[in-house]
Amino acid sequence: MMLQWLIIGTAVLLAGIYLYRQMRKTLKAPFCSDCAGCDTKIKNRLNR
Amino acid sequence: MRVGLVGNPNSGKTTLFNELTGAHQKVGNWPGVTVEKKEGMRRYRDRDLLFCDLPGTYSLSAFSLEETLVRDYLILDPPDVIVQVVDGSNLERNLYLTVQLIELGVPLVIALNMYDELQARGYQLDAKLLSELIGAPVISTVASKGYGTEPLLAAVAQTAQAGSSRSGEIRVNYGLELEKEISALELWLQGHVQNLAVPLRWLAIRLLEGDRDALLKVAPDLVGNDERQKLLPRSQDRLKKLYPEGLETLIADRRYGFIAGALQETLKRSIPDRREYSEKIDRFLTHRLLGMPLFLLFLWLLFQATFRFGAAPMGWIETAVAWLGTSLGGILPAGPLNDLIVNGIIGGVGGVVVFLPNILILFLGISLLEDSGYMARAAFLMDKLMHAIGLHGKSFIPLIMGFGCGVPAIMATRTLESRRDRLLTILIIPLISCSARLPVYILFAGTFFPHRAGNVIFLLYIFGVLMAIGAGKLFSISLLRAKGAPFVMELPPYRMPTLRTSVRHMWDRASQYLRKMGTVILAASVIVWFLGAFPRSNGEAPRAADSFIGQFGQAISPALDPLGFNWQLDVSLLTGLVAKEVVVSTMGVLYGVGEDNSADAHGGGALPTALRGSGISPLSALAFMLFVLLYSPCLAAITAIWRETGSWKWTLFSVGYQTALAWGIAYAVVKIGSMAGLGP
Repeated sequence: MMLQWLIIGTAVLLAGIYLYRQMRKTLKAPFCSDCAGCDTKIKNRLNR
Repeated sequence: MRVGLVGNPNSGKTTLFNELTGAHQKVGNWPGVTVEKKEGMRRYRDRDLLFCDLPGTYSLSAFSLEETLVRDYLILDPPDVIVQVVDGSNLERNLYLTVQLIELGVPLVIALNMYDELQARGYQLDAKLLSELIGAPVISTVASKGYGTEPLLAAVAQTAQAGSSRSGEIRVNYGLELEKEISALELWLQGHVQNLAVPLRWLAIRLLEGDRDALLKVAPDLVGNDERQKLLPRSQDRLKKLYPEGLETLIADRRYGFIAGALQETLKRSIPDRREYSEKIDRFLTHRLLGMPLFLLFLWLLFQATFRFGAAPMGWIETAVAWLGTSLGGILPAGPLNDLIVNGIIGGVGGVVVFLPNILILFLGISLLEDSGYMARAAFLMDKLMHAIGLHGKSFIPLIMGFGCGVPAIMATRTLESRRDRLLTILIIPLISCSARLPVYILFAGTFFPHRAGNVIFLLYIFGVLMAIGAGKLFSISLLRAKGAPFVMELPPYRMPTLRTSVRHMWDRASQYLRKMGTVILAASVIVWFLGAFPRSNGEAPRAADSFIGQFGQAISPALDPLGFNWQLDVSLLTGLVAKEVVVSTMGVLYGVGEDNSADAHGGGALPTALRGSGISPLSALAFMLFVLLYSPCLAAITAIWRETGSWKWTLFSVGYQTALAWGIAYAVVKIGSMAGLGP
């Protein structure tokens, strides 16, 4: 049971960190996240 | 080596860019798809070519944002070679930009794209002679079929090696009087600026055209120069007296004269005149009375196909997901880990992945409409409606992009010249239903209106458009008063969509959807499961309503109770702010459907069965779909609004008015429906 909780704890922690980082990334540049208009393979140079 | 791709909107730059670099940028058969620079690499004969896809522009006059962006790129950060993509089916207008590029003296290569269309219309172009006349290699290409890219790359490499093309030697003759003033200005500039990055003649013409910004960019020291301030108005006044129609018109006329001359010598018609097939089709599709009903019919057919053809593959995926849940549930020992994997991950991700076929069918349809050129006609039809809300047809392009995703649609508003138009368009884009909301509609319409699901989804999309028009009208007479600017809507010729492009569109869409499943949806499902599995008492999982998420759902439910939603729906709406697909995955987790492969008498999978059994009425289901259609956009779209408006005030206003509108409409539907005896 301990092992199960360890795996669950790790999964939840990783999911939380991923979502947090994804949101932070989105707040910085929404175009480079996962929207339909962007391809991460392409470097987007923003119009400064 | 850097290569810039320039050209008129809808000349096929992005298609060529994708073909050359292997990228998958969005392509559409309407102008304004590329709104910013995009870069991609290609290795050719041991050289790395960095291609830069620039926004479409008709000229380098710096009147619009795209023109300014392209012009600044060419004069301030010039690439080694410029490839101008010329639409073979519209040579005269496209070559106008060529003339300006010639004047700029850049190392130029012309990609004569859509050459097959030129031939299909019965023309033959002497590319070799045209190359000599304009001083730059002209290479025939058909980017959508990958034709001509090798010779184009060879010409690029050769031009780069030579360091220039002969284009700088070619001169447009502007006539005696104008040439006199150009020479005088050139002479004066020669004595006052050193190491100018652009030809003196180009700057002199720009100055005569009244482009003060060009001077600011290439020779800022001369901006306040007293002598220039006297000299230039004197020249302009003299020319204005000689040519009352205006200098800009005169210069444009001379350039078109040069083009007409070049085409006269190089373009020959090989078959007798015949009425363009595009015009024939347009007589029906853009007909004053028939146009709009036909547009609605196409959309209706698209949504019917999305639902009907998607039903069978959706059922297969549903069965596979249920099988996976049951199998894993049987293999893993009972306990919290089993619960996380089966109900959390498979229930959440599996609940959304089943809609992949529907998404693919919808996007195949949209891709066919775009690539055939019909979407530009739809914009033309909508132009009148756009005018009614104080916007012009150009705003329709970002709005149509909103059917895919709100984020690039909001970014595409950069093509609009006035801030007021941009703001108004940004405010109404989120009301257009994005593809991420489709899983919610398919789930609810399929569950509660199984025999009319296609119609319900079609009406939801139309309702979104009507709400956008209504909100736009309201804002244009209250917060953002102004008149819409006139705009000539471009109607590209109809093209037969290629299998290659359509499959690529679908593949892009599928990989994007699956990537989202494996990342955001997966992570959100784990978190939702965790919040639903705690706090535990005596090591046992709590009742759903007593869990963290259950308590939270009940805390916010008073605000949404009048709409007939239960707390599971309330929570889903909130988690859906991360991404709208999460609305469905959250329900998958909260209803614990991962290992449940039961189906009731109505058919369908576990989640529809659970929803039907949860006491939600069809009326509340309809209200829920409307709420999802209209309420706050997702986090990425909110951020895009903030970045593009540069204002928290407008961002909060957008989120606030939409949520209030969603609540109001959903409440009205529930109340009116109840009074009409349609349900509780």
